[in-house]
Amino acid sequence: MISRRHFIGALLATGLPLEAIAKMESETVPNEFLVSAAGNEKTGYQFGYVVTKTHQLEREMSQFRGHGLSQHPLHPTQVIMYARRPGNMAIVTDVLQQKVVNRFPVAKNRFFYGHGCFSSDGKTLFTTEGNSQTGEGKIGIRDAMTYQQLGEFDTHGIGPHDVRMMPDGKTLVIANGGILTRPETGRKKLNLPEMRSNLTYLDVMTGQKIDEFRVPEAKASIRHLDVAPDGTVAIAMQVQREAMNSEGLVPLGAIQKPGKSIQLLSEPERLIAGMNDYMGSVAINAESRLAGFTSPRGNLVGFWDVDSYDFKGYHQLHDVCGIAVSQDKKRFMISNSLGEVRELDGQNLNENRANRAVYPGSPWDNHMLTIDIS
Amino acid sequence: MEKKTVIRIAQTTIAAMAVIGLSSVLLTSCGGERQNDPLQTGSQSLDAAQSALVNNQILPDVKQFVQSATAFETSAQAFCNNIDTANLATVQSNWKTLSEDWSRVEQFNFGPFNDDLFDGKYQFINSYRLRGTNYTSTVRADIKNRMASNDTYDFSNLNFNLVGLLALEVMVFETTDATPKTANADIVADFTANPRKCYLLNGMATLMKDNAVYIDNGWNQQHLATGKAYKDIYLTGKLDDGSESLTTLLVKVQEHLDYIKKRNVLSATAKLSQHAYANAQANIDAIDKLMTGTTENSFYAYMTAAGHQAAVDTVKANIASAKQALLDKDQASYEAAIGLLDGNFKREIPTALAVSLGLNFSDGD
Repeated sequence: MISRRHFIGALLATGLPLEAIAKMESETVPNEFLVSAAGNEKTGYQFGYVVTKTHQLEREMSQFRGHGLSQHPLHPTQVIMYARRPGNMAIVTDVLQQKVVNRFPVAKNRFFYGHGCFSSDGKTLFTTEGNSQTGEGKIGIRDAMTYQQLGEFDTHGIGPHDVRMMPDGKTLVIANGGILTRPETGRKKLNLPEMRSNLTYLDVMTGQKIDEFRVPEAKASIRHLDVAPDGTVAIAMQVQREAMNSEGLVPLGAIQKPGKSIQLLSEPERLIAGMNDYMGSVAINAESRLAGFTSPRGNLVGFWDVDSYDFKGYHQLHDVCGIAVSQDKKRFMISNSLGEVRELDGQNLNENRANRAVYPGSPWDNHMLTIDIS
Repeated sequence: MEKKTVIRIAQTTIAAMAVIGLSSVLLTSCGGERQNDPLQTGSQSLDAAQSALVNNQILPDVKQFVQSATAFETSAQAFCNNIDTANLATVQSNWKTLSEDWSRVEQFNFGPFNDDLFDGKYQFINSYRLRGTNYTSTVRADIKNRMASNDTYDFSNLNFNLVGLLALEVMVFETTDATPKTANADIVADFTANPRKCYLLNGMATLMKDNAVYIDNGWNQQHLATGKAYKDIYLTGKLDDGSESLTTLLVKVQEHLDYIKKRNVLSATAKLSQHAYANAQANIDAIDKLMTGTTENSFYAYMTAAGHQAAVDTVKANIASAKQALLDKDQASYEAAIGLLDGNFKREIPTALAVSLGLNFSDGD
């Protein structure tokens, strides 16, 4: 392990001026971590976390391939990593204690889809799940201290993938991807001819459906979400082209303003075409009002203004999928399966090449999150 | 609670990497691996296979494409100076050669072929490649409009779907009548009656040559603003976007095969010249050569040495099927074979070459 002193010494040895090193140090938020599912069959599956300031990587072996992540609001040093679908486990890691402090399984006849979120008071955890027998989408409800199951809601759709708490603290927004899978058949898609995705809003107290929205293309699976403080929802989709009879271009990103219809991000066509029907993750920078959408199948990140819906730029990175906003909102952080992390300016999207980082033994999986444990 | 398993790895920033070169202590603390290790399997080396591919196939075939584009431009000028059926036949023959030579390199759709997400050179040569849209009607209408005008054009500013192989084909293989005629005597008469058609032909022929030269210069002299020839960048093994060059090669060939399979290339392109099968033959020959190689260091040889002879046999069989289908003029069988080959480039070949296409690329959620 390299200590901060040795790290700075190493930087000095490169000839970098002290001011530049001081700037690199000051440009990071104290106590900020990057967290992500990581690893592969060769390295073993992990929960990986990096101290932004010191660039120190820690890993906890997870025994399963992880997917989405949530920081515990009441225990900010703790992060939940959910198993990738069809998953049956989640682990809770304390990034300061540097150990897994809890784990919990999915309920009987249920499986995880890989994402979850907390209630606004931090006392309840909601996870996207499926009924193993019927395939119906469910939101598992757990006590966020004990992780004991308290109940569940219907998601009013098939294949609920991502779920977020809306800023009102009363509403869950759910990406019902529309694709039926079952644990016994793994990731095989069982209903492509009749699949229909939707974006559903639920009352978090009653589970009642408040609203439901669809996009014009039935085979566009609404998969990942991010929500801005004003309730703007960014939507990343994955097109099931094998179920379509057309090779026509289908928008992959969308924005929904509270109470409004979904606005598809249909330009620029060449960038969307280059994303090869697949967006893997999305993050909104609340300060710059830009949303970044990653496409590992196109080696692309595209950025759109969430208010004007204008395209603002792109960045090319091999197999990029993870995207998060730094805690100071000044940077987008992106990651890939080669263990790379890059920083893009949150406003002008220029890359800070000096801060390119690579963690060779830690292939980053689909999603990345930044957390502040101050 | 489970027993903690923590592995601490030093992160390497660009700045720190310079230090790493100075410190073996730091180097050993980094650990890790490349995705595509330059493995030596017996006498076989992937690096040598890559070098042979670039030096013995890509660079010569790009050069050949430049020569064909130049020959086409020259013959178009000669035809316009002396409009007759003999010169037209030469132009038509040169178009076919140009089209075949493009087909030999089209699968290498990276680097100088495609160095701008929005304006990649490839689409100014083959507009069909972008979205599988047949722009023949658009081109016909545009040529008529421009023939009716006295304006001069900067042809490099024209939209991609108005130029390239299709536009040249439309001009030299049919007339501009409302119902186009294809007899050479009619085409000669059309050029004679419409001198503006030669202005357009020459302008677009020069643009084609310029685009070919751009690609050649990118590979051999300077790629974008890097100050380096793309061949040198490619052979370092690591490209601008962080990808391994071998990974990019396999992905791009796979995308090309996917395009052929999905876009009815045989029935939708080179229709006026009736040259689609010859183009497809040139293309599958090039893909065969890509795998077979030109020296003892080939991808096939590496795969065999690495214990993947069955994969080699499968790929060879699928290429042979595609070739036979072309000889039989059997489009369905050709596309079926291309579909299988597409799968080989996604699975068997990357596995045998120990290439990771990317966890997120191949198995996202």
